[in-house]
Amino acid sequence: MIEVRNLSKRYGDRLAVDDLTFDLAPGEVTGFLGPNGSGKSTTLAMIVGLVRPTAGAARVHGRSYRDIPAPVHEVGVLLDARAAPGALRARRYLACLARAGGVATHRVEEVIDMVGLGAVADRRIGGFSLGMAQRLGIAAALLGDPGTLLLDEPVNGLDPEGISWVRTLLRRLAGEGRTIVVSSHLMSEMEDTADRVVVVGRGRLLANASVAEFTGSGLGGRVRVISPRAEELAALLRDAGAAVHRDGSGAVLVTGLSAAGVGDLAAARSIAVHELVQRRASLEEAYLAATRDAVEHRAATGPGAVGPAAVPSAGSPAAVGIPDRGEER
Amino acid sequence: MNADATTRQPGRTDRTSTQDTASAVPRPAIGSRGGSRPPLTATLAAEWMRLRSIRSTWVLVAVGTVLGIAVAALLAVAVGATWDGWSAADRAEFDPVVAPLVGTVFTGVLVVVLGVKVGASEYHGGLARVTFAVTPRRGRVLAAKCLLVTLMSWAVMGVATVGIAVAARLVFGAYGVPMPGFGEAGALRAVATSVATSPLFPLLGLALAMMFRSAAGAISAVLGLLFAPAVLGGLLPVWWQRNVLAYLPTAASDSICFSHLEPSPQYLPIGAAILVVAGWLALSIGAAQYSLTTRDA
Repeated sequence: MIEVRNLSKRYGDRLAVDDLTFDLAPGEVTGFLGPNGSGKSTTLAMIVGLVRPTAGAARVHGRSYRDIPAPVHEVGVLLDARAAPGALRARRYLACLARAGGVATHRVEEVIDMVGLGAVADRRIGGFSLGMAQRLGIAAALLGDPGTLLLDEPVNGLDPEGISWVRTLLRRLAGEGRTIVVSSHLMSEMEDTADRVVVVGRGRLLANASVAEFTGSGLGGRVRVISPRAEELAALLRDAGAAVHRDGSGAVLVTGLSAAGVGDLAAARSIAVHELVQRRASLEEAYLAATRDAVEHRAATGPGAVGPAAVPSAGSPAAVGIPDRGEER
Repeated sequence: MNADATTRQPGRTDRTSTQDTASAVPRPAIGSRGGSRPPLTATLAAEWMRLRSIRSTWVLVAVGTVLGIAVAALLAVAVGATWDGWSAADRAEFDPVVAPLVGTVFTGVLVVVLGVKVGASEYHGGLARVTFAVTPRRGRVLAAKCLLVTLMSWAVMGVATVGIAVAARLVFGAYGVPMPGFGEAGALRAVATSVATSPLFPLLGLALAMMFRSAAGAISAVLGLLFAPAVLGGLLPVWWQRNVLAYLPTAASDSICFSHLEPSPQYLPIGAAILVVAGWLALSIGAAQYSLTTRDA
């Protein structure tokens, strides 16, 4: 169990992490989502005591990470796969970490097998591809057989087979009762991996929900309704606090009310409804809707690309694009 | 608490439990099985394993040792070849044990580079974040690195010094330069203390590298501190030598090693010199510790 309470980090006049509060529970894969520069890496670094919070605290099993006597047995962390020293051979690097962390030497061979690096374990890390470095970083995080895993963008640089492998591994580890946190700016990966999502933008908490809640919530889910008295119905729904707009075919798209809520309102005024559909947003759509106002590098994609009209339309979320898919520091 | 495990999607719960039947039984109390804190020797062993696994470590050690011995041998040849023309006074003043120790200056420079590398390697590609996640008590990492650099320095300088003594003895012997017995107290003290104090500059380099988080700045600073007094020393007024240079690490360590052989205005009494050297070490390592624990990794 990891508890993050009112965590903030200020760099100069920039608030990188702004009053984050959430819990990470065992047995679940939590997707830690947000655009680049939204404070994900800083938050993870604060949880493991690498970065000192400006305010607030993160506790691991009720203790600050620095007070855990042998932390590699409790929390495995991968922050930057490229941090491993290029001059060392992979097996030796893991042996060094095992020695420093108080981990039995036989674990080195076990984690090498787990991540499938056996064939290259005696090569220098400097010659590794990003995908191999990610596997090595995951192996390092698994060394102490920890109950909690914090992985920052672990699928970055992996090929489709590698991504599928990470997904299967994480599901299995969560099934063993571990707490798994995976940060990403790639929503499509999280959809099949995560049980919960913690979404941040500009350092602030935007959502903390199960994937089902998140995709079905007002953050991205919509109700599509067709009525002969569409104008009247739209006004009614707006008065009820929902966001409403019309699509080209004359249907009314409602955000912020369930299908039942829309139907009940229409019935109360005796407005006929010809079609009433609850549409669940994909995680990517929900994420884009939630982070729309929090994207820092909006200029890079142009203001039109992420405008309200472009984002929620069901069509192709890929066309909208998540700004800047590069690596986050 | 909002992370409620019971509200998971039904489909996902299914998949989790059928994914891997071998590990379907939840492990007891996972995530709270803390071990005891690894001892300092574990941190030291890990640092040593990393250092000895890197080729450039052994390049530095080999070059440092060979260069030191070669310089000493060269000096011995130069002396031996001209020995017949030396006056009796010059011959009396020449110390065939202490003079070849000039070779250790070259060994020392390469050990300084080694000390800097032990510190700066953490910051070359962000390894510090891995190191300090494994060992969150950062002072422990610094202590292990200091121990490692001290032991490496003694080992390399010890081997180089023995090599220098053997090489000089062989060359001087071949030219018929009379060698005093090794038991001569003054010379032996110079040899022993120059090995004993050899970790000073490598440790300064390590501390500065941890503070600057880069090798270049630390190497420049330490070599400047090491050589600037030697270059400027004789040019400065005696007052400066006695009241400023004497308290710099070069003069202080030389006071420990060589003050019994010949006088110099830069030499401190031996007790004071030991305090000054200890002060420099405490100041630099203390500053590195402060920097490590107060700054973000």
